[in-house]
Amino acid sequence: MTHLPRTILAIKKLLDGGTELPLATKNYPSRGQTAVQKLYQTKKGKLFLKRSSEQNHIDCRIDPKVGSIAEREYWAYRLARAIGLRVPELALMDHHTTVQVWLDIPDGHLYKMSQGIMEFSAENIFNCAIFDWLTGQVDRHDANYLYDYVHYEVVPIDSAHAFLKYEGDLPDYLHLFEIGDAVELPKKRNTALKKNLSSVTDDQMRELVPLRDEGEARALLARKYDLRSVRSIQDIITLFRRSAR
Amino acid sequence: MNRPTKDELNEFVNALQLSIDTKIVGFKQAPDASVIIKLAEGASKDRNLKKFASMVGGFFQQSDRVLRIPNASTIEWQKLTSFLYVTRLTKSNVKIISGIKSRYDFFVEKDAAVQSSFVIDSIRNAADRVFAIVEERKMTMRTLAEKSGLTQTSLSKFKAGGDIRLSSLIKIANALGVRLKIE
Repeated sequence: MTHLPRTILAIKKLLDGGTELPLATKNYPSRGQTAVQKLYQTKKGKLFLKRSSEQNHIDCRIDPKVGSIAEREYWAYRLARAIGLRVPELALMDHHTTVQVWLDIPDGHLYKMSQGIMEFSAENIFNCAIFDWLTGQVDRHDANYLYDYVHYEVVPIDSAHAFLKYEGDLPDYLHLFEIGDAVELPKKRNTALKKNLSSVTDDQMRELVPLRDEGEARALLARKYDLRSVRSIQDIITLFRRSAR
Repeated sequence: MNRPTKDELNEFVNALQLSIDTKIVGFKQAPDASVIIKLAEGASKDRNLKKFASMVGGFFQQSDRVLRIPNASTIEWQKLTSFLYVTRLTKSNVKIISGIKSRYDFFVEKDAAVQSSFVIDSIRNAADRVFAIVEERKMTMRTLAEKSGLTQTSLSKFKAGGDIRLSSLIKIANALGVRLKIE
C-alpha cells in the first residue's frame, strides 16, 4: 500500500522524481472543483495533485480567506483519520494544493455504470454518513466517493466542499442505501467511529478543523451535537431531511 | 466488431494508463488494424503491462518499447476500457470480478492469476464451497435466506451436507452473485 512521506519537502522530492501521467486524467471525470489535476507515477505508487484557483472558489462560493478548498479538504482528511474513517492519505502542500494517494478502485458512478449494483456494508454507510453530516458535506455525488467492491465499502474523496455554515445534502450512497436496504435502516449501531467521535472534545475539534470563521466553527460543533442522538442510519437520513426543509 | 473509434481509443488509453506503472508516450492504429502503444522506460518491468498484454493477445517489443495489440477489430474496446477502469488490473479486484456476475468474463478468464472457479463433485463439496463464500463475504444465514428466498432451515440442512435441488442451488448462487457452470 502506498503511503505519503511525512514532510512536504519529501513529497515534493517524490513528485519531482516521478513521472507525470497526463493521459491518465485526460478523459477522467473531474475530481472536484479543481483547476489543476495531475497524476504522477512515483516510486511509491500513484499520487494525485490538485490545485484550485480563485475561480474555483468563486464557483463554490467559498471564501479562501476563511478556509480554502485545499484546506477544507485537508481538514476533512484530518477529521476522518482522527475518528477512524478510511479515506485516501492526503497532504496539504500549500494554501491551494493537495497531494493524495491514488487508490486503485473505481468511483461509485463508474462502478454503477460499468459493472452494476453496489452492495454496501451497513456499518460503513453509517460511518460515512456520520462523517458527511459532521462535515456538512454538500457535494457527495456518485463520483465523489470510491467504491471498494472487495470490502463493500464506500471511501469518501473530494471532501473539500464542506464546513460551511449551512448543513449538507443527502449523500448519493445514502440515497441508494435507503432504497435498497430498508431492513438495515432502523437498526441501532454503535460503531468504533461513533465512539471515537464522542470522545473528541470541542477544543480538539477546533484544533483538527481550524475554521477561521466563527459562524462556520459554531456550525461544525452544532452538527457534532446533532450526532449525539443518532443511533441508526435512518436517524442520519432524518437529520439531512430536516435540514433541507 | 469494428476497429475502435478515435474516442474509444482515447478512453481506452486513459484507462490503461491508470492500470499500469509505465508512462504511455503515444498510441496509434496501424493500417493492419493493430493498435500500437508506445511506452516510456521501465515497461519491461511493469507487471500489469505484462498481464494486460497476455490478456488481449498483445506482445511487447523491448527494442522500441512498443506494445502491439493485433486484431483490434476483434476486441470489444468499450468493455475492455470499463474492465480496466473497474479493476485497474489489481489482483484483489479481478478476483472479486471473476466471482460475480460481470460482463468481463473474457478478460477475467485470460487472467492467469485468477483461479477462483472450482469443481463440485459432491453435495458435501458444494456446501463447503458455498459456505466458504458466505463466510468470506461475512454474510449471515439470515441474509442469505432473505436474498435467496430459501428458509434458514433448508440452508442449514444443506450446510450440514443434506441434499439440495438444483433450483435451490441456483437461487443461492444468484444470492451470492456467483455463476454455476456445467461443462
